[in-house]
Amino acid sequence: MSILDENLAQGPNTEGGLKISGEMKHSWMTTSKWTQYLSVLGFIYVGLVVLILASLSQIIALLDNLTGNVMLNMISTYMPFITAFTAISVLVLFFIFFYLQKFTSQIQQAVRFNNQAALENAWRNLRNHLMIYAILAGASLLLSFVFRIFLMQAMDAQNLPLNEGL
Amino acid sequence: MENFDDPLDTGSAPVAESGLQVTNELREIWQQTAYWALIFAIILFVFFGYSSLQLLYTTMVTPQLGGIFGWITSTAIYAAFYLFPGLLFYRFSTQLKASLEADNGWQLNESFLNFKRFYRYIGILSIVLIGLFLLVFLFLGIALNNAPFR
Repeated sequence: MSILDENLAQGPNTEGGLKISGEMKHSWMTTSKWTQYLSVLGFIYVGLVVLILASLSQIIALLDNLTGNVMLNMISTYMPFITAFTAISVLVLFFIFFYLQKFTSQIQQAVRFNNQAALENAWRNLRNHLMIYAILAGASLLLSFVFRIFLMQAMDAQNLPLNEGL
Repeated sequence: MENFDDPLDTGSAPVAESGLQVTNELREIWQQTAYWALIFAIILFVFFGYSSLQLLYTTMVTPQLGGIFGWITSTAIYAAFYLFPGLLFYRFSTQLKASLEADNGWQLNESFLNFKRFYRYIGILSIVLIGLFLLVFLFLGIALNNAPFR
């Protein structure tokens, strides 16, 4: 009889002895408060970066026209590339915080209303958040390695010790 | 003597505490989450190793940076930013994966505790950093206000 009841209680789509306990739900609710705070902070950061980026290119172009400085002229030439690179990074950052925000709202809904679909969606969003975050972190690591090698070669070509370029 | 007045289901079926269940789909998502969390943790460890080694080299060739004491202080800061969060995420990932393989509820609970600790730690770290920025701005403002050239 107990075997029959076990099968009935678990249903056809569940597996193993894992259960969602009250402690887990409490952990998720506490986590969701912090993730909400972090996602809001992230959105503010993305907004600030967009504002700075929008004003920086204008300021550099204006200063370049006024002073005719060689350095400013060089930066002004590369400004579209710098803007494009930063814009892509900001877009990726936006999605990182967007998925974190979605995780927050879905996990809270799942715990409050015992909503299974919301629970699955919440973890799907967290997986996407982590995936983008890991790819971005890996790309930054790779870029810093490449930059380091480039810097070392440049210093070597000019016979300068490496610490002078840092 | 058994009590035949009790319903048949009482005490026998492992009914979950709530309507939420660990479905096969959820297991699959958790496995993928554990995979990406592990990659993220490894990247954080590499960041820490790379930064502290680079710093060791810089302090060796530039003694003005404080020597071994400067290196230890800076490495401790790097550890706060990379090593400790990486460790929490590594624990979350490995425990989540192990709990799914062994059907271990206690381990699953532990993994979510580490997951909570990670975000709480990052949250507190961000509050500390914002506080430090505000303090720096405050002192800069006071210093500029009392500057002799004003």
